[in-house]
Amino acid sequence: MNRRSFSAICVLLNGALAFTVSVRAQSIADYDSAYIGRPLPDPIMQHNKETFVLYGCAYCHGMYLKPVGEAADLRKSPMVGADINGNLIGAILRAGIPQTPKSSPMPQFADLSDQEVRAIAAYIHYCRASENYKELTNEPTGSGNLAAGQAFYQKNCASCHSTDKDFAAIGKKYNANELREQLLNPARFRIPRTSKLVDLNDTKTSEGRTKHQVLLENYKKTDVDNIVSYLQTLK
Amino acid sequence: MNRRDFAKTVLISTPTLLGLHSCSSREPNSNSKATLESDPSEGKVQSSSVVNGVQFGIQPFCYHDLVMNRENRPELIRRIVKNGFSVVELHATWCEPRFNEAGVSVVDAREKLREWRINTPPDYYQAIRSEFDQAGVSIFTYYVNMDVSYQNNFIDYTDEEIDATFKAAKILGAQGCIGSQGLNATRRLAPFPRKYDMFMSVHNHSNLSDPDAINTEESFVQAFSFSPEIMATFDTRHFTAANGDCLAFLERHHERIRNIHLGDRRKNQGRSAPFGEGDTPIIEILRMVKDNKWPITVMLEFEHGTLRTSVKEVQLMFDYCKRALV
Repeated sequence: MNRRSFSAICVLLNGALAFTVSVRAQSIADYDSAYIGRPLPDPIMQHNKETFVLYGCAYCHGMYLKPVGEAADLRKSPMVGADINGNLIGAILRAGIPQTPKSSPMPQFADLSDQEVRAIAAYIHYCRASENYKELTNEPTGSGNLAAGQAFYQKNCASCHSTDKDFAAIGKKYNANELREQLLNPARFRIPRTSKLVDLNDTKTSEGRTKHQVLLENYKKTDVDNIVSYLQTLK
Repeated sequence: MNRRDFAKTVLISTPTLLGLHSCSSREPNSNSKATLESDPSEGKVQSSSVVNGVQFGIQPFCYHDLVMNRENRPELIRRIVKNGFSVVELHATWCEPRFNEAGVSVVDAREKLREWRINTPPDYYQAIRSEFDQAGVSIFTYYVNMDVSYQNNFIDYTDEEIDATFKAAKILGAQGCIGSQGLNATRRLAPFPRKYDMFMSVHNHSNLSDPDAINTEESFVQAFSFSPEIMATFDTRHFTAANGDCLAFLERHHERIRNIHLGDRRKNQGRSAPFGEGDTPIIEILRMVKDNKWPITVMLEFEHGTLRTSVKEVQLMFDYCKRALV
């Protein structure tokens, strides 16, 4: 099989998978759009959301992570913030939290497949990132601390980016507002996914997308101000 | 085939013979021909939601998307009628105002609610009862958690407030109050229901790490010992998750069970599941109640996930129960 044939098959598979997940909501009679919301534009994320709903997570943790009753607030959970692809969330899902002072312990979901764990975790991260993006873009920008920004860069960005290469003169290329937007919502990742195969075919993009989402859901306002201050000096 | 194998075969095949497939949320149930017992256009339940001698009702917690406040009460009634239930367990929040607005501290909101409860005239509750009466729905139990903190067994209800709560429940037509309070709070509440010729029902969860919680047969028995008016609202989902034997509990304590919260969960603190997909013996529970003619009201409740509307999901669950009682 030559490269062109392989690509053509991948495109077909992408389309088929996207079609499968995008019609799931519509194939359910009486789909509760008033409660669950209209299907998301990204069919993969819609599938993840439906998995979150089908396992009853939304009843306690909230459809958009605003907890109902005594459930933990996943928006503020450091454990969730440190999770990558369900590596931490999965263990809690499968074991539950039987020891608790709360009236109703979190159940264990021992029968979840790895794929379902990843889907639930992905939706949780998506909600956290979306929520944090809204908060960070609604708040007025502040003047950051250059040294703190440089330290943040070294710790979180330098493993993928370089001030000698892709970030050389980045402060000249973008103004402060544009840098802020690139930090929070990099142009490279704005293309909606139609299937997981897109990521499988481009692991570098996939890893970058994951790392930026982890950053986005955990950024504090001062982090963004600081890093923008630092990047502006790269001219 | 030995006797054990035969019994196993019968148990496995019974649901299939009855056409009782689970009401899974993943796929529309093509076998289901759920019948609505009401004509929603008339706004009144058309039957008594009794199926082969078993009285069914609804725990409105099922309507997960509906915020439990008094403003949503008309919509709640509309849904109960649509689902065809003539009996409901009404949570106090469907009747009471909320005082936890922005700027009001938790302590102040609690005091305001207490004052409101003590000073609200009977007419207020009578009007609410009329709303349900007009819809053909009777309020079987009034759900109030008279225990504000599970962590320290602290009960901040004054005698005056507890009396006001039972009086409100009486006016609403309820036969008893119910709550998920622990053993200490239940002991404190035990003398009150007798004054109103009512019962006080304890509802179990699955927390086995809290020695004060109602969770096992032993904890129920302890609660029963506080007063003859202490009864059980037996939650089959949580009892199953706490590895309890629902059928044995029913057999031994049916005289103290006033109602059942019927739902399905998996053992070992497992997740909630659509009817037929968990470890709760739903069919056997229903048949025991039917065959023994026990006066136990079965309240449908679910916490499993579904992509369907809650009204549709309840309809499928009710349909499952009807077929179990054929």
